[in-house]
Amino acid sequence: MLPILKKECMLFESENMTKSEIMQKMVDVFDREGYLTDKELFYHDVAMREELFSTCIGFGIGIPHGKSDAVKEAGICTAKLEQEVVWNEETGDKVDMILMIAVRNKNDSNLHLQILSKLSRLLMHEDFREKLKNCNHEELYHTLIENLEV
Amino acid sequence: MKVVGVTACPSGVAHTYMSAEALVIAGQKVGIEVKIETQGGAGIENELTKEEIAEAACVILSNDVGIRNEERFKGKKVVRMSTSDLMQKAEPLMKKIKTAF
Repeated sequence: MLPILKKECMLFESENMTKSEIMQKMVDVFDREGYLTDKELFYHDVAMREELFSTCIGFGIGIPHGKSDAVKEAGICTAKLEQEVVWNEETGDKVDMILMIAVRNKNDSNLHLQILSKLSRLLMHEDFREKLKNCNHEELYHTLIENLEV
Repeated sequence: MKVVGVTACPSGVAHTYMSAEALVIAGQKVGIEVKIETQGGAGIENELTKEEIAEAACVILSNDVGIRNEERFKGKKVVRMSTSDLMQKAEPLMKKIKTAF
């Protein structure tokens, strides 16, 4: 079983990127780390979800997620951006912190779903958001791991 | 004052839970006891009881996707909003509920 979060799935980007570029990069990371069976399909599913309505949750955070047949095991990929990227074309809302979530379309374990629902709930708390945004690579990993235990 | 609600979203991964939590936090801020049932990927959690529904001043339902067992709320005052709106406008909504009911 893959861990829901690996250090290899945490990106720090200093370059100026578009939304689709950073999403593609995160999908590639998921694929490289063994979470996917079909990266094109996963990208498609996440992009479709994004089109439904943007996953920008405010506070400079975006949480693209897809329930997809292309997911082998649930996981989280994070990216901190030095340069903000527009996440919602309609409102112009920008993000500099991205948490991409991969979930199996069917039969994902309850444990995975509980971890992800806990993450979603935590994101509504200002102190947690501040922590995520103000920490370095190592701290971010530990903050997420500690808080996501269920 | 007590308020109950149910949230659900297309993938059942994130917005169901974010909107539920945002409502509870907003309730704490304005002094309303809020309980939200979530109908997400992990099934129905925090299920509302008959008593809780009966005691609630109003019911908040997300309207991204259908809510299961909606007939429970027959006769109650119902507020319907999308999970995104619930997340972003939880506090003004709670303030409005507090003055309206």
